[in-house]
Amino acid sequence: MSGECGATVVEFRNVSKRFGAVSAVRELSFAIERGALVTLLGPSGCGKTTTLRLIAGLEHADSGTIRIGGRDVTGLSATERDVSMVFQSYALFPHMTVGENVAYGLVVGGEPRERVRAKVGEVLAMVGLEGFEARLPSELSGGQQQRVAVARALVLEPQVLLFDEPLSNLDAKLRRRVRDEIRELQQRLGLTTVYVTHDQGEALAVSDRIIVMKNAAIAQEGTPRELYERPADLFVADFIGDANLVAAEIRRLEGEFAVVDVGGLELALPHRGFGAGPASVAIRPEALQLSTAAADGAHIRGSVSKAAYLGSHMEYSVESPLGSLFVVDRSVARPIRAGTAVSIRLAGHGVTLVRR
Amino acid sequence: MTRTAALWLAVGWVGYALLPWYAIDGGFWGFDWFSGYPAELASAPGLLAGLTQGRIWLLPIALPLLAPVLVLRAERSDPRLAAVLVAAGALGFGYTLLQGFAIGLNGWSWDSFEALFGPLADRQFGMGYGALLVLAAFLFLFSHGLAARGLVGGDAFVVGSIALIVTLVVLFIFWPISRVLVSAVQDNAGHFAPALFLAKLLHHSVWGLDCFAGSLTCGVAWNSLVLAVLTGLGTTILGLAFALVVTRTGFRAKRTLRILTVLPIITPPFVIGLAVILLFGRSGAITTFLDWAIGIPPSRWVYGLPGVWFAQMLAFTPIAFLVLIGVAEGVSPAMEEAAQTLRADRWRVFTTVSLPLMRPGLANAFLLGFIESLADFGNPMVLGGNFDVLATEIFFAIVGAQHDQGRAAVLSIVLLAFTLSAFYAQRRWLGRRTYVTLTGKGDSGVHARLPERLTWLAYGLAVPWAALTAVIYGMIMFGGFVELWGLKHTLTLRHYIEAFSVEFTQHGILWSGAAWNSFWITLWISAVSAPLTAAVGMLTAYVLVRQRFAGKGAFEFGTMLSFAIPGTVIGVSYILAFNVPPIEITGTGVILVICFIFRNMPVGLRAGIAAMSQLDRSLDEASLTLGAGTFTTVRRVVLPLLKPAMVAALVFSFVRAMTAISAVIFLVSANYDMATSYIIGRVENGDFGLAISYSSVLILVMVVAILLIQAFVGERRLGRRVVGEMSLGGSAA
Amino acid sequence: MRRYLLSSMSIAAGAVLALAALPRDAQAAGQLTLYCSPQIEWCEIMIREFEKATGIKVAMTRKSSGETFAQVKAEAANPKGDVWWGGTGDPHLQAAEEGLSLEYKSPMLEKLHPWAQEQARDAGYRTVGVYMGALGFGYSADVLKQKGLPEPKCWADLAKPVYKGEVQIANPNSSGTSYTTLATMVQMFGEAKGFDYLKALHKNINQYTKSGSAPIKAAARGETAVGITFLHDVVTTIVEGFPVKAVAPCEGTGYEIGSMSIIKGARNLDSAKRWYDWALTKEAQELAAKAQAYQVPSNRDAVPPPQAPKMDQIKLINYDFKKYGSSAERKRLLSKWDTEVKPLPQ
Repeated sequence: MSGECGATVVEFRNVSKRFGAVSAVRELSFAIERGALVTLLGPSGCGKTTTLRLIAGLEHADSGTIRIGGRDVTGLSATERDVSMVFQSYALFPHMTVGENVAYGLVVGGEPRERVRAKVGEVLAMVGLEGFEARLPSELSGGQQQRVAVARALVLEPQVLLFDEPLSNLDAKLRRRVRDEIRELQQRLGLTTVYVTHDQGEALAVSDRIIVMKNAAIAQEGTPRELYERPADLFVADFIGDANLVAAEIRRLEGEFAVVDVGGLELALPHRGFGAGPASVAIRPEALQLSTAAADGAHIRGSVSKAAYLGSHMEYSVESPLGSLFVVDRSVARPIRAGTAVSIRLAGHGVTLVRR
Repeated sequence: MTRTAALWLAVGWVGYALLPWYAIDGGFWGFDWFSGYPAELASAPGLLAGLTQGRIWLLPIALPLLAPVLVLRAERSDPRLAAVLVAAGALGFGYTLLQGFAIGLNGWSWDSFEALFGPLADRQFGMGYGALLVLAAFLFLFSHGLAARGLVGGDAFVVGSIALIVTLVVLFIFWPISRVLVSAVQDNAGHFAPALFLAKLLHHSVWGLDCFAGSLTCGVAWNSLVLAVLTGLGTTILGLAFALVVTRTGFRAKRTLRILTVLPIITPPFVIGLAVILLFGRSGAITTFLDWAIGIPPSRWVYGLPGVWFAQMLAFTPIAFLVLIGVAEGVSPAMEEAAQTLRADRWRVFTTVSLPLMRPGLANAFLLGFIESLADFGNPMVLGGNFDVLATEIFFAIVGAQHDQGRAAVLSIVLLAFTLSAFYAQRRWLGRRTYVTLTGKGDSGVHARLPERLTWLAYGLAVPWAALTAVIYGMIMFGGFVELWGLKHTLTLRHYIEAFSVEFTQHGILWSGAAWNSFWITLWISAVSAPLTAAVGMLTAYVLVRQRFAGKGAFEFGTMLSFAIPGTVIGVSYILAFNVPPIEITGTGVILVICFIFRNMPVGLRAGIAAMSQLDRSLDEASLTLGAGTFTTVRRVVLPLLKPAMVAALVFSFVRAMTAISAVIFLVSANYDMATSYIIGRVENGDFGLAISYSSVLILVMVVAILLIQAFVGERRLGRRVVGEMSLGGSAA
Repeated sequence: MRRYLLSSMSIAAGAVLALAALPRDAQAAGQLTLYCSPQIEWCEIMIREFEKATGIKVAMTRKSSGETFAQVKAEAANPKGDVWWGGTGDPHLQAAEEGLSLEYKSPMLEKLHPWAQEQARDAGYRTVGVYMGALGFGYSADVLKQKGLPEPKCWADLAKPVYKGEVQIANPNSSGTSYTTLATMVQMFGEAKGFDYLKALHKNINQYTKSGSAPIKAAARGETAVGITFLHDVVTTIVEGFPVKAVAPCEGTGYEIGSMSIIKGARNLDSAKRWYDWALTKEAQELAAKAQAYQVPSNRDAVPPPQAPKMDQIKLINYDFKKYGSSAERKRLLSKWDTEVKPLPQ
């Protein structure tokens, strides 16, 4: 793991990339610090995979600069960059054994045979596949193939490790396990990692930081908590977790806070730069508290139109003056039946002012 | 500067200052030039020839060779480096070529230069290895400069490959062909005559439709077109039948079948036609038998379209088979399994998944059959009867009583138009769909069994056809062992002895047979050209499939040209272009090798493109991100997965080099006679015995060569389970 | 990086090999590059004897005369051949007309038959006749018997309706043999009548072959009853043992003069002249029989092979090589044939 000192390993400055008439990435700037796992999150077509491929050197920027480990790599080919990538399809060489696949990068780099063998064994052990050297990829299960792909990327000890939707070919159970393994490995080895996914749950679970992309540009970046609790706009609020978007009115600003009127309820929320006037708030489903008892204090009246039991929690649809609201309730012991009139209260957290 | 660029610069200097600039008489491997080196002009390096021999026009070449020296220490990302390399490479390359073309055997080659600079007493010969190295150095310095500017992802290997291929295609395809096509708009004396061009182009004999009015034959253009479409379709269907039988059924005699299907392409021209006549001609064995057995009166049906079509099907089905077998294997079993799990029965699986996924293969097989048919002149010559086609007309426009090269050029343009239209139709048909079936995910599925009726259909086509091939080859082999084929069928070894006798004298082995000379030359030239052809073809396929760059369409088009143009025209064009300096290679083996490379490369290219479009791009990308350069990626990842296509390319180019005839007629020389031209001479004289025994030996040699190629290239290992007794891999024959 | 170097070097190696993998010809003195157009055995025998007689080393390329003409023409800027021996006369005359061959008066000229001397004079001594072959036809005795057809004796017989679909001749556009036939008819019967004859013959033709000798080979194997070609080709077929008979047509017939030319710009001019003179000697011309070539030698003293068509039994017309060998006349006749004869229904 070479590279100069300094916390930033990957840096994009005003990078743009077009495919014909389509802008895949527009004026993108961000930095990724050493040892962090940063996720590029967004719906398909948002430019996250292109961004990843720009880091890898598989695409080349039309404008802007890309630096890896302090070096300008904008014009360098994939071969010349110190990065490795785990592909969505794993891209295991079908004509090589597991051992040969993992050894590939070392062999073409001219490492002595003894060292190659030792390192391959070490890395395969790390991913729990010792003794699989002689197998062909086609003889492994999906999860095993995935781990071979990771091992093949790891063995080169790259400055940056790239994952392109690595879990998309796995079943749900396996997905969680592999996800945790990747995160564990990444933290243990202190690898700088860029991870592309469209699954927000996966992103929240593994990331140190998330860059949410939309329409070839960054919508918001921050830690999982920041993004969840303080989404910049409706898109982010909706993409990360669920959110009810509700019209509101900012009455006045009081220091850090704005006094906001949401359907007659007054809330003090961080103002986030908004001024007085009409506004929107995003309300997380678990921030809405329902009660069938006659309520005291500020509340909104509504009625439950749908109720679903999901084992660990209940999901309700509630008709209210604010519109149809989606509510999650942890108390499964006393479910509310559809048709019941309820009073709705807002919890202190999980409500944010957002851009429309 | 990268070390590679510096290396190329050094190569340039070695070529300029150390090696003989002009072509050496003693030969590439002949080192007798050391005797006069470096003082004599014949072996002087360019620098010395410029300084001491009055070849002052060679001196400016030093400048673009000096300029890169100044930036030797520049960083790779330094824009000045890129600028210097691009400028020096382009100027040096351009100037070196220009002086070569401008100053020839008789001083200035062009009057305008003579007017400009005054008469020139000195002259110069063809370029030798000094000039060659300098040109190569300039070319690669230029491409390194472009790569440093970030062209094609800054990949110097890819830019270099593109530059190299473009240069070679221009030099050995465009340039010679333009030399001959220009005569289309000239009269016989070389004057510009556009009206004559139109008259020849629209001539009745080309486009007439008299055959519908009771005349002997329609215009040659229609004849060729109909024949080519029929042959393209027929060979594709038969090739598919063979490919399916071999890859998807439990058929037992697969090996035999494979060998049988490949026999026809390794058969020298004319032989199949003759065998067909002896079987199906008016006095042929089968015709006589049918007359005797069921009273079908003997007729001449075999002369004309049916006979030519039949012979072409025999000859070209193997090409379709070679293309399709790789593709049929490449179709991902997982996709077939996916379709099966979606409740599709075997028939639906085949028609909706397997067959559409083979589309690139089918399209390429058709295209090859179509083009081969258009360019074939051996079969129409023997079996055509009154059915004239473009290829024969072109041949006889040049060598026949008309001596009308202009007409040959015009007809070549018609032929070229057909080929290129087919090429574009194919591209449209394939469209933008992807046919990737070999992805990086291990795929352990089993190919779906064919539907019952299809199995029988495939058997029904392939088995009788194979039987027919076997009969015909039986006939041919037999013909070499009889006194006089078709007349005196007493067994004899006379022909073999005449051709291949060997005497052991006190001086060692004396190869006294008449055929040895051309035999060794043929073998040697084929062995040299086959790997080069395959390499150029595969490299081009990789560049075309995997890289994006401007002018790619035109580039692909250019590579198809030499294949699409009839061999006769290529032969004449090569003489016109390469008989005079700067590239003076007529009468050598080099011209044969080059001709074979660029004539046969499109086959490797097609096979490569078809196979490569089935390879998931992420496989090479994975290799790149693992630190392998493009060349390593091609060598270690792409090529091993393209083994079937590679075998096809190698086999085909080897075989074509051994059996090519039309272009070769003009390019063989006293010291470089080829087997086919020798055989043709014998056939013209009616000496079938020797022609056939020679052909039989060639066939044997080619079978051995094919087995060697297979053993050498090896099989593709994918770890799929196998159906029945079938063996995987791209064994092509 | 090391691999990268290797990669570039292998491209380069490929290019170098492609351009220069094989040795080039040596062009030393005492050598001769011969373009030989008759059958290869004849070429080989000639070369062997010439090398024995002179010690000059001969490098030979065998190509048909049409192919050789095309090659000589294409190579005109930098000729590679020295002398072009044999093959039908028209391409030689064409080469003379286009200035591709060298004027040379051999001391042997006076030893030649008048027809050979005449042709040389007409061509401005740029070519000379080495042998002569008369036109005629051959028929398959078997097929005639089988079909109950009479034996044809004259050109006129071939146009009779009984032979419908049984006569084969080459296409004059592709074959010099067939062009000679066309020119013969025009000279023998006059242009109008000649073409009338060709039109009548057209109705009986089953196939216009590409090569001039193909019709007799077809007759030999029973694929056609009658094949029109040169008589010496019929003789060769007979000698091989095929059941064919040669016919010298009763009306008279035309002939070809197999010729020889020195290529202009020949690099080994002295050797070329020595070959030229030698090839006109009695000894050289009598070698033909050994190669089963049954043409009539142009040297008056040379004895024709015993199997050769007896010239005293053949009525030869006075063939005008100057006129009918010129490219203008040839083009005119061929295009007339193309438009007036070929498209006719049969």
